[in-house]
Amino acid sequence: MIPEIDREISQRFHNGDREALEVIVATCQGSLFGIGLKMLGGIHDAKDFVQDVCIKIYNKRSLYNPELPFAPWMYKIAINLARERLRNRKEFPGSDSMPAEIIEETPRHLLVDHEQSQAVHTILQQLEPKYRECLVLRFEMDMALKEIATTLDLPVGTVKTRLRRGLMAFREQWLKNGDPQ
Amino acid sequence: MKCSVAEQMIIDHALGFLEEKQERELKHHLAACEQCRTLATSYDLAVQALQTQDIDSQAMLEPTWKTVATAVATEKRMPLQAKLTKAFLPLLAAAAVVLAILFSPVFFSDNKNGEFTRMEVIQAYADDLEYLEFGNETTATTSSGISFQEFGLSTDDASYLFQQ
Repeated sequence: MIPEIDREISQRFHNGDREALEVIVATCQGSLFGIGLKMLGGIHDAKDFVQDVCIKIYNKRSLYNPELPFAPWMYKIAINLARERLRNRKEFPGSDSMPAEIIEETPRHLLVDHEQSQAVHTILQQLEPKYRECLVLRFEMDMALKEIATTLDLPVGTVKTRLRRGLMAFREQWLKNGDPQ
Repeated sequence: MKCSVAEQMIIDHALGFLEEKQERELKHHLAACEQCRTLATSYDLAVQALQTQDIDSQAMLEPTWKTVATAVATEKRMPLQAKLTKAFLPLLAAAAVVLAILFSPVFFSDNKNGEFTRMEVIQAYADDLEYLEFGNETTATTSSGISFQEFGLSTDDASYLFQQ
């Protein structure tokens, strides 16, 4: 779900108020982590991604128009950063798995969920980034078509086509790998 | 409804694109077609997997705010330096390119610094044009049947460019 940032907080953020940034970080870090994990495929990469997005939005705060909703602006920056990371990445992602200390402390049913989520990440990494980002915004962020189009600066028709092709490709791989459940 | 049409609608249904009327049509088709029902189930499972939230993602995040706050504070202490670097690096790069062109010995010097002087380079171009018979015919076509107009050149321009 897209986190709600109210107008007052976004206005204060625009003016450089660090407390407003703290509220935004607390509200959005979970969803940004989800985007990072699904786009980049690794926990450490996703953690760095969250921090870098938060720093980047603060540095670019003067470019944000407080009259407009905050979330699409922030996710546009997040997606662009993820694209940049993918472009710069030379090695194929996926080696960055859950750290041992977290596995030890995690109940068994959550680990089964983790296996499934690992399988989803692996398949997402095999898709073209243009399909992956559309699927992540649709299903991770629960964004509507228009919101995805605004975030990615694309026509609605293009987003629709990418979502269809992306879902077809994902389903094919999901069936090949076998549903871990 | 044909199964090929239903297949498209199944994908759109999974993505949440279908309107009420289309949903009813699809439901009607699925009730009668086992093959499409299986396909629809597989898409539903794929979507369910994509919607799975990562376990306890908040817990996996170390105190993000501390790191962000430190970085933001550091950025605040030296904004001028960062701004200058940001503004001057592209300018320096552009200046380097301009200087390289201005002082290029091949094109802009008659001193024999490189392998060719400017005149030699121009002469080489002129020889090429002559070899291609561009110098002799300027009005309509070359002897090879190439029309200057095909390349967007007017007769006057062609006369000017290829005059002997």
